[in-house]
Amino acid sequence: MINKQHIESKKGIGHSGQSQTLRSEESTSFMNFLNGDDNAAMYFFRAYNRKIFLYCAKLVNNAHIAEDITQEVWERIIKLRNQSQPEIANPGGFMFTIARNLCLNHIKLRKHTISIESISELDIPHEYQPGSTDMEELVNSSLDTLKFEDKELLVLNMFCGYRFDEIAEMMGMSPNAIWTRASRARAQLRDKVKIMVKKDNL
Amino acid sequence: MNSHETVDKFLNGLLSPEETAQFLQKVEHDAELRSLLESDRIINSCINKERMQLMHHDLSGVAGAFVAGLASTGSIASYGLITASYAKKAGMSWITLATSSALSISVCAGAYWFINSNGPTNPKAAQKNNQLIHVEQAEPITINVPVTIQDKTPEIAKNKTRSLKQSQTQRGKQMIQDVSMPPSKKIQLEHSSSKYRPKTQE
Repeated sequence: MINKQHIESKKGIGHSGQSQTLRSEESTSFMNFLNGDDNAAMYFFRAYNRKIFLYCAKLVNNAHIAEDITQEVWERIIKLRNQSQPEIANPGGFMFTIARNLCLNHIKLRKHTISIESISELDIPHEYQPGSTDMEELVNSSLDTLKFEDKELLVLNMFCGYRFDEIAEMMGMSPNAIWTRASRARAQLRDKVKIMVKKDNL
Repeated sequence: MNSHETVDKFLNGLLSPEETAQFLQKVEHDAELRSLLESDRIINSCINKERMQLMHHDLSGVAGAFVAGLASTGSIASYGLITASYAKKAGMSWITLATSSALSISVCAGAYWFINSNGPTNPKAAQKNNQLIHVEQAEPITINVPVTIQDKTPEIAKNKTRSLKQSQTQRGKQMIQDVSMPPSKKIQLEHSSSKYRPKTQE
């Protein structure tokens, strides 16, 4: 029998009160950052820089472009300093939204400049990593075949280390909806890997 | 609940102890579940490997740009040492930090040298300059200029008459000498038919 309470708390639904307090604290520090507090700026940079980079690196499949996008995210936030801003309730979500938009812009631009039909499967824009096995390449390419929203969800969970409730909060969705989507995306990945493993065994 | 969902819950620790025991018993007999778990293990290991590679990606460039951005907003971070400490906090490597510091110091030294090179650099020139400054600061020299200036002084006129007399006596002596010389012979030129030519030559 499924212990509903346990599941709810594990999904992070039970943490809502605590997370709300943390969120309000983070919101205050973010406003301090925007009002010129350098210590708050450093706190946010250290807390989010690597996560934003990982997120961008997986979405655009290129570490160098991800670095540029991460830098642009910070530039955009710094530009907001000393300007009258409405209070940002969810700084993490705000920063990831900037990163998401920049990544989408980049992907759109890439789509405009290179037609997918004109390149072979081997030349699919995916950063080559020396020492990676066939299986690793397969996992990465399978991740790319997912819908953007599903891929984003898995990246936030598996690469950036966010819990599903945190992702739900950032995306403004219910944790259950996020859980269902993540489970579906993960199932697709598993199926692809399972087929590959079967082929290898044969 | 389908097998993917059960696997997800098992992996996320969302199953109760009884459910976990049941699931493990089922895995022993169900090849499908085993393959799902195996593919999940592969996905996790591949993603973790890639994540670790991305975690070691050098983001000092982003950190440098962030600190520069903070400095450009005119906050306290614009002061050298504070900037350096912030840069270190932001994750810039020591090598990058040392190189950028050395560069900035050399640029500052160059600028200082350039500004000072417009003035005199050797001590002699500096001393000369000081003397000139002293002269400029000294009392002004007054020169008494007479209202009328005589063209010739009486002494100069006397000298002039004396020299005239001397030259006249010298000329007289020469004339006496000329008279004492013998008279020159007149020679008739042979081919002096022209009426314009002199008939005789001394």
